Amino acid sequence: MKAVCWRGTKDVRVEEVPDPKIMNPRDAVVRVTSTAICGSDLHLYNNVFKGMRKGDIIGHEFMGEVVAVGSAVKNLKEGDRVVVPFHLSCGACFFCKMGEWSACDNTNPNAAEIEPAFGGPVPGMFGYTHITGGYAGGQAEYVRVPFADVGPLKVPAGIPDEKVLFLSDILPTGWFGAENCGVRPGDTVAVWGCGPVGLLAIHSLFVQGAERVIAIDSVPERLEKARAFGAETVNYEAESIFEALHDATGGRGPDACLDAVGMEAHGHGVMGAIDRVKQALKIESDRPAVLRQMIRVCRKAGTISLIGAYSGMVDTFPIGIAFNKGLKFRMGQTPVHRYNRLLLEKIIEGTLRPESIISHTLPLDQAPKAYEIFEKQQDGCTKVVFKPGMNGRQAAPVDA
Amino acid sequence: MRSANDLYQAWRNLEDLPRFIDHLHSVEQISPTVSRWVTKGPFGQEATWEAEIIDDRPGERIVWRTRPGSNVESAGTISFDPLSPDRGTIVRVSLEYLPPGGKVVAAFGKMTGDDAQGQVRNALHRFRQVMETGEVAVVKGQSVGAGRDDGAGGDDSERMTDSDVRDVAGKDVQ
Repeated sequence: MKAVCWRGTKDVRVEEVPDPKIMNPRDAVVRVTSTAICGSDLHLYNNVFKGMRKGDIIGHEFMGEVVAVGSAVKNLKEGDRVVVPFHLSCGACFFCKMGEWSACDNTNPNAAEIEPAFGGPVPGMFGYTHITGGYAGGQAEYVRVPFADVGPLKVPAGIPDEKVLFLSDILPTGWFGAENCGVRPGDTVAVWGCGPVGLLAIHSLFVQGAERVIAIDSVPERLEKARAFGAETVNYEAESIFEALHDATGGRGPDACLDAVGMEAHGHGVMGAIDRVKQALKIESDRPAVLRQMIRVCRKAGTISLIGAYSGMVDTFPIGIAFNKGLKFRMGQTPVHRYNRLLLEKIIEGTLRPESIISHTLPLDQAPKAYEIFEKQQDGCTKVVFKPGMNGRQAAPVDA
Repeated sequence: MRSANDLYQAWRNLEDLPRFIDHLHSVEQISPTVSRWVTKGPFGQEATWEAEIIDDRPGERIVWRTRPGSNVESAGTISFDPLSPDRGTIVRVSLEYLPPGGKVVAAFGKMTGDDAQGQVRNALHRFRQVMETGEVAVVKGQSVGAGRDDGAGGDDSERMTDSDVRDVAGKDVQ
């Protein structure tokens, strides 16, 4: 089959690879009908999120049709149409039982290697680094789905892929980041980053009852999409984020600040330049420019919600300001299984319309170009969806 | 989450242990308290010994040691301590051993990352995976693209390295 494989910094290739097989009783194999590039895939593309190996099949936002199931999978059958969460969950451990699906104990083959650093294993994820298990991903014609009796969400016929594909990650992630803001009536929330996750966080914040959302970015097309979801906007290249947010809130600051940028924040001036050098020299793995801005501008006793991905260490973190302002921090990988059924209902009833962020629909073999324009934020690129079946025949039958 | 008794029963069924313990090839029960263990050592080297259970408390703990004349000397305990309801069970393993050839082989073990502590940690993660999910999480043998043979290589190409861990967790992590 064809798959998008990681080779190194800014080097992804569409390669012919072996078809996936059932390897465990709880596995399924899915024929991918739609798959997207996530903003967090760009951290791999830029080789700043470590633990990748040459040849890794990337991609963790995908959906498709079940073509094979293992002996222990009783809830799915061939032909079922499913959206698959980006992280793997066993459904039986201490964490899954309490609804913390993205803290699952049992799905990472590298659990023992990770434990000394993290205190316990982070769960497996599709198409990401070997820190999250190194599972082959979904930017491919077929994908192996372990723990398939727990993860995949069946979707009814008649709804186009575009409306439900983002239940795999970015819609639950935007919703989770919004929920972590603890919105109360009258609240103003500032959102850093109007990429796919930021836009869906804005959308979710309004559905959850925020009065005002102020969206921050520098790309005109992205700010325009934020306005289409009802946000006010700040272009940080034209005005000071601190002054704009203070002015908009009468000097109090936003009730909550949501980071949909993560570890590769652009940053400004001397500090932004120093962060780039520190990241290149491995003194810090992540650039915390957005974090510092949020801590400074958020109202006292407000909430900081992080959904943009962080991988490791940051430097010059203003913990004293955060402490003395009494800020609350909420963060993490989204427990997709907690939200995907609820959000499917909201899509069906028309409350959520995540498909409006899609800018490009392409065949899989366009992946290298698609990564390039998405990374450079060119060509109005806000979200790329690949259709592996778009150019004729979809590979060979699966040997399962 | 499983009860102390379930976990004891699963571990006491010694012939199943190779499922949890990476470098164990087989365990054969030759009497109610005596078993024969065969490992897959590094560089294809094989070790074999007979172990005798010297204290067996169902649902609580198992204590064993190698029998005189084995080419590996070791002794160990596994214990099962129930927590409050819905909190699971603490499983603890302590192990003392002198591998064949003594220090030289131990040094090789360290070089390949197969230190005893890491092996025990790995076995306990697999034990939990099997007891809670019925299977071991695995990626070895999955679909992969070209260019794989950089760095780790071979069977361990899917494993994380110490350098990956240091990149995210800092240099002070062991």
